Amino acid sequence: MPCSAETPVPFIDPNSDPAVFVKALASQPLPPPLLADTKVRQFAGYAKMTTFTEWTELLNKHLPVEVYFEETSIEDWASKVTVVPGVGLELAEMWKYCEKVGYFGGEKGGARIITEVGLKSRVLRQGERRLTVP
Amino acid sequence: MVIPKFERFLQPANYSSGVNAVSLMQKGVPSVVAEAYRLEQIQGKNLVHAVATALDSLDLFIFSGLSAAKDLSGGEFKQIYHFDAKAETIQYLEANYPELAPKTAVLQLGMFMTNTRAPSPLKPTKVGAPNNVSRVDKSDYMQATGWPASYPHALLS
Repeated sequence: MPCSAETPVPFIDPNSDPAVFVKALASQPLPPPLLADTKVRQFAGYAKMTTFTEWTELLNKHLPVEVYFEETSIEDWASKVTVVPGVGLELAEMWKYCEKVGYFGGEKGGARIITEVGLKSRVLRQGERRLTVP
Repeated sequence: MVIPKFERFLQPANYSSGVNAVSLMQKGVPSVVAEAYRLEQIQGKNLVHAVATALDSLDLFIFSGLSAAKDLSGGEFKQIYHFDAKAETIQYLEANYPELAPKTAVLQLGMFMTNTRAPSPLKPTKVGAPNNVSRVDKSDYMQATGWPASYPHALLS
């Protein structure tokens, strides 16, 4: 991969997790935006933050073959993605961005992690509003 | 199923191994990823316009977005188009619809576990075996990705 083995990578199960996050957002008051210069609230939703070190360990545990991780340059990795021209570089840059900035944009991105702010699906209390509009 | 807008990008000559958007553009070949970026920017604005028409009765607008990669990397990464198109949609909303912005929540989802089935280097491959294929046919691609055959994928003919 064109990023270090310790790069945090958030994963979801796309068939079930989005509904959980959407329900959490839609069923209770939301905290204000983290950044002062924005009124749009940003949330990060993921089931598990993982690394390629963890991945490699898991694959080695469950597969009958030896699996190892190799860090490559952006260009080398991009050249191996040939299904659609251009996609290789776009994705390779994304992995390096995950390492250097963070998938959710780091601190400057201003995204609150849904699980960390304690957002869980629930029913609105009587008289409670979904959003407090500043 | 082929979306006609993309057909011109799908000539076999554009599929030789090792190509990337930059080298293609230098050769004068239009970049499919840059075109997809342009379309997503247009669709994002259209979506914001449509939501704004329902502002009065709107409780909450949840937009599936991603972080502003080009800005937040200080311009180091300029080709993460699927991030930037979504981030620019929200920047557009914030700049042009100040009453919609406080009713908007952006949900940035993590990567899909199913991505690891795709025929790309993310899928673990045997050492010495070809890491990818330069042109996959529809059945191989469907099998590799696990997508149902009815999935409307722009890149399959």
